[in-house]
Amino acid sequence: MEHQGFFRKYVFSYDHKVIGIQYLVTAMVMAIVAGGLAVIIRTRLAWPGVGAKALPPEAYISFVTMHGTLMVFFVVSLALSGLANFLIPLQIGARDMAYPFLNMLSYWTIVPACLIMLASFFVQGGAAAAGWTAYPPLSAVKEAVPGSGLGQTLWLLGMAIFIFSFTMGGLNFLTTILNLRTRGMTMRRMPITMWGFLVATVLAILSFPPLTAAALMLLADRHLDTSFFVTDMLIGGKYRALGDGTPLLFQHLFWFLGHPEVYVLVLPCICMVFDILPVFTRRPIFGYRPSVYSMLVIGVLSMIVWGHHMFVTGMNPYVGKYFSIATVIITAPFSVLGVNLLASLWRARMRFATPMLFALAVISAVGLGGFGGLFLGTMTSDIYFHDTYFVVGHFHLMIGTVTLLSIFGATYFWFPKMFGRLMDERLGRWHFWLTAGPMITIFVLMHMQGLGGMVRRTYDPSIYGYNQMNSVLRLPITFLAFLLFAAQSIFLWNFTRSIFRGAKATANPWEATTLEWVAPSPPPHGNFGDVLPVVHRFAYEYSPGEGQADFVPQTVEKTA
Amino acid sequence: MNAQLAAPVRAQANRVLVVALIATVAMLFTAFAASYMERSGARGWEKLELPGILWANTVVLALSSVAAEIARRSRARPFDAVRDRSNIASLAGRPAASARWALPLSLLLGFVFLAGQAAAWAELRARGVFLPTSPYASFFYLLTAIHAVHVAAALVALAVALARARILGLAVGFWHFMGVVWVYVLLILKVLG
Repeated sequence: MEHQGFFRKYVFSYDHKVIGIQYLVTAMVMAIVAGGLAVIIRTRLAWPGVGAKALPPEAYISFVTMHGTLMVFFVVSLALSGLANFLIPLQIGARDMAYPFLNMLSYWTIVPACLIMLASFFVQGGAAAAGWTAYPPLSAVKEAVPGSGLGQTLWLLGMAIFIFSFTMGGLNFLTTILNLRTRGMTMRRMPITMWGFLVATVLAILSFPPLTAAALMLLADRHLDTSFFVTDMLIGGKYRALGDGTPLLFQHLFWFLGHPEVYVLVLPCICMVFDILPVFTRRPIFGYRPSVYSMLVIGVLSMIVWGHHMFVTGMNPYVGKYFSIATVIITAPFSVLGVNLLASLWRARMRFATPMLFALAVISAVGLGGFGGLFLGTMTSDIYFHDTYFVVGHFHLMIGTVTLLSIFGATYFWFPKMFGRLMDERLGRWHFWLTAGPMITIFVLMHMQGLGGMVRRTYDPSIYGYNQMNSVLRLPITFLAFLLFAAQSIFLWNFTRSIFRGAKATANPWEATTLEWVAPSPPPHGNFGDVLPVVHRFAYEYSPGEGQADFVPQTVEKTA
Repeated sequence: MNAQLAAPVRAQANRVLVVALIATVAMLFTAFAASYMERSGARGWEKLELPGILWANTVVLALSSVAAEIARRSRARPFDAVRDRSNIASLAGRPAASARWALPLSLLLGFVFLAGQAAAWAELRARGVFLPTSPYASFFYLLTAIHAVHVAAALVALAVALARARILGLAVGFWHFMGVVWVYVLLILKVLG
């Protein structure tokens, strides 16, 4: 390999593996901030009435807003971009992304977006406070709350840059998966993770533009005196003539992105679990094709169900009924995925290594989270649950727990490929139990609070008498949240230490079949040496039969 | 690593890229169209007389597209022999004579279009119509401005294609799409609401 300077090799690198790791590390840094915000929020909720000076209501709601924004867009999305960058060329047998320069550009545009988001905490009025959904008029009228000032402007700017970067990244993923597969790697032989990223990318490319449109119109409303979303209203007791806009329009545009975004995050995570399972069950995954078809159906359906986030906006009940039915229909293909995950474990002799533990926890979270979704997708019950902790618990299970546990599992699993060393198994187990345990418990308990009517985004829920019964749970949840946050230091220590001190890994430490394990650990620039591997078989040939090897890599030729 | 991709793979990837790019920009304008329809049903909606120069601009943009297409075909000509017109990327043969003038002409017409759009905005300004004047005016400026930004980006791509023939197909494809979007925008502003 030709000599490269430090900056060209590690900073402004074109290499998809370096860019992938850069994304992952950036996501970790943002996760510390976003997780820290969650700890502050939980502290406030556990001891209402204490420390009102240190954390006034304006700051609280702004922390809630930024916790959501950072977690969804700057932690989970970035970590998945990182894994996609790392895995796509390796799993399909390519030397790099289709457009390496564009790839570097998309990472280096996300960095300023992160910095803008972080900087917004320190401007006058503090960070944005209109919720991660940024509904107008709170987000549109500068005087509404302190965070509606410069903080909200920076939020919109950061999001615009994020979308730009994410779209560039998505174009790269799409072109790479469709065009750069090595000889023999047909679509039906691809590891299912590639399908997950493919569907997610198509969804992202199609669903982010409406949010861009909404952000542009919101910026115009804020700074150029238009009235796309704002209407005449009373602010601080004074009448303000702002025009005749339609605030609901923003919600439609937002959720047109917002709902597909759930699947953008969840589908690749479920697929990575599908890729981890066979390695530790030594069996092929169950129902590869039905899973792929289900994902395609989910992809289509996810773009026409956004209204289920808006049942209480006074929409025509027939429209609500449509959104309700369409939403419940998604349950069918989604259940196929869930059942296939479970069936992949059928009669397996499992090896409980850390990645496998995380994969199993993801299956539980998919079940629990999906079940709650039924009640929220059904209009009649959603009208009761709307804006309660039932919703908070539900979406944290799906786009928090499922995604983060899967990303952790994937990190443990592909770490040897990234750095040529294994992560420590004992620390991994501690990290697993102290992460999956609290995480799932916290969000299931939040469902209970929601059933009791506890409303989200409330500074001091104890002011409502009916919340007394919910207060039983507030301390346990908060202590579990502390434990969860603290436990991540085990992961950070394990990750950092293993890069330098971990046990050396062979090219294929898990005895897996897919292409990335054919390359050396870590793979050099260009991944596969002089000759690209040729694929001869399906991605999951484990325990093919009596008297044969336990696993057959995709590159092994078929004998007649 | 770019150079390591075989030319047919590169050309195919470029084609997927331009289709995906078109899809994402199409969704952007669809979202604006949906917002326009929604907003036009609310209070305070009143349409304006569109500046006449827009029709001239439409013709200019169409001519530019034609010129770009001539450029693309003339460069692709040596490959007709092997029935692989798609394979522009690895093009090494002699371009036809029209290849020399067609692409610069297309670029020039593109800039004329942008100047014409600026003239349309100036006319509205002179009439006292600004961005916040009315919801319709807001949408007019927003749609035309977002379109102009994309046109400018497409012009950059065409300009780069002057030097690097292998992205010509990509740039021209996107340029045609800009023409389609312009007709779409015009239809929204003229017919809907």
